[in-house]
Amino acid sequence: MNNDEAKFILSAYRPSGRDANDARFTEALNQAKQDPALREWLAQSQALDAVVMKKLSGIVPPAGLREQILAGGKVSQKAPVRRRHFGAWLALAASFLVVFIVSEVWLGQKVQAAQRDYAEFAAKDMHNGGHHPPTGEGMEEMLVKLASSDLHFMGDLGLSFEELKAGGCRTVKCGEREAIELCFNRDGTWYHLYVMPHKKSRGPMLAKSQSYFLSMSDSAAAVWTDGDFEYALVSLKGMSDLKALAE
Amino acid sequence: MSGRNSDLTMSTTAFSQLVDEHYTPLYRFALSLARNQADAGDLVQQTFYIWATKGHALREVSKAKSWLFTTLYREFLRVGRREGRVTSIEDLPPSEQDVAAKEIDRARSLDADTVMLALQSVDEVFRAPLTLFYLDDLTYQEIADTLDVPIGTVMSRLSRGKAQLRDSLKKPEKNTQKVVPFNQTKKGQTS
Repeated sequence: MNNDEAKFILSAYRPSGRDANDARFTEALNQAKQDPALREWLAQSQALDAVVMKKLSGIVPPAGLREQILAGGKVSQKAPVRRRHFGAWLALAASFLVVFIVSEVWLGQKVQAAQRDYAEFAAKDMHNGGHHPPTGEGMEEMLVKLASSDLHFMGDLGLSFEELKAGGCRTVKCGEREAIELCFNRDGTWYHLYVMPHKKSRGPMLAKSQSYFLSMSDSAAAVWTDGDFEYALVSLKGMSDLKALAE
Repeated sequence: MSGRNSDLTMSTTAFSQLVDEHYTPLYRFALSLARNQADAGDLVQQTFYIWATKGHALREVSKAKSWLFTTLYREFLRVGRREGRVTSIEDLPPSEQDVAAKEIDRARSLDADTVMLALQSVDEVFRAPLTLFYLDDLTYQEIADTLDVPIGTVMSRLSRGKAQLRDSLKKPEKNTQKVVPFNQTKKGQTS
């Protein structure tokens, strides 16, 4: 490296010492140590640089600039990332909630329509079919149980679809589905209990639904499910009587 | 500034600290580039505005200073447009003349504003690295990154820039002729 090359490099060497550990300057600095003329040139060059640096450090920003920056920053600063994410999650949750509510309303309406159909079917069948108490083996005990005022209908009735069929219970078609009618008398009033295996495909609809009561001009019906069977209980008595029995 | 690498979305206090730490050197750099106080102030404000709206994207707080200088310089280039012809390095006369003692004395006798005027008279392509050199805030790598040029180019421009500055310091009374708002500088205008 000749002195011209060393001067080129050393002209970038700052007098503050900031560049002391920068390997780019090592060779040129070593050369300056050994060459008096180069050393003198470096000293003069750095002296001028130091003066300019000192002068520049005397430049102060105009009054009020800091306050303007802070004020501008305050109004322009974006919301914290976490909050923006929180907002996005909130929006997502809100949209899920809307979808959920709409689905629930839609499902609720669908369930209610199915319950009404079942109740109307039971009432119509009762009117058309008369009374058919089963006479088969084991059915007498069942009829006593159903006639008992201690029985809670919406609890576990302990029914077996196959046993009911084998016991001579009347079988009817509710749409495409097979139902069994179980007629029994309690306190002089005839009741008709229709039992259908619970349709799993629409299970969530009925299983989670509340019992449904339908009052008609000359009869009343209650519909519910226990997850295994879908029940429709219908009688010519009024709604209050049926509710007392069902609930 | 803390060294944590978490998001930089800042509280008012943290933003205040960032401004306090950097706005003065940024203003000096901006004044050197823009060559008048109003535009320099605007540049600094705009830089912090960009920080306030986009700074959170920077993951390393330790790079905030370099980011601010880089943003200010890019903003200057965007708004002000480089002065038309930039003097080619090859066209310049050799710069490595010995610094006379009387030059140092003269510089000492000048006030800060006059020295700034002399600096502002240096061609922009040399002025930006020269100012960053004198501000002494950034390493060479950071200066190179800020100006988006190799370190060798930074050094070369420094050498030429210093030659122009020394020339201007000898005759500071002429420098005021060059002071125009940078956003009024037209393409093709030479300084």
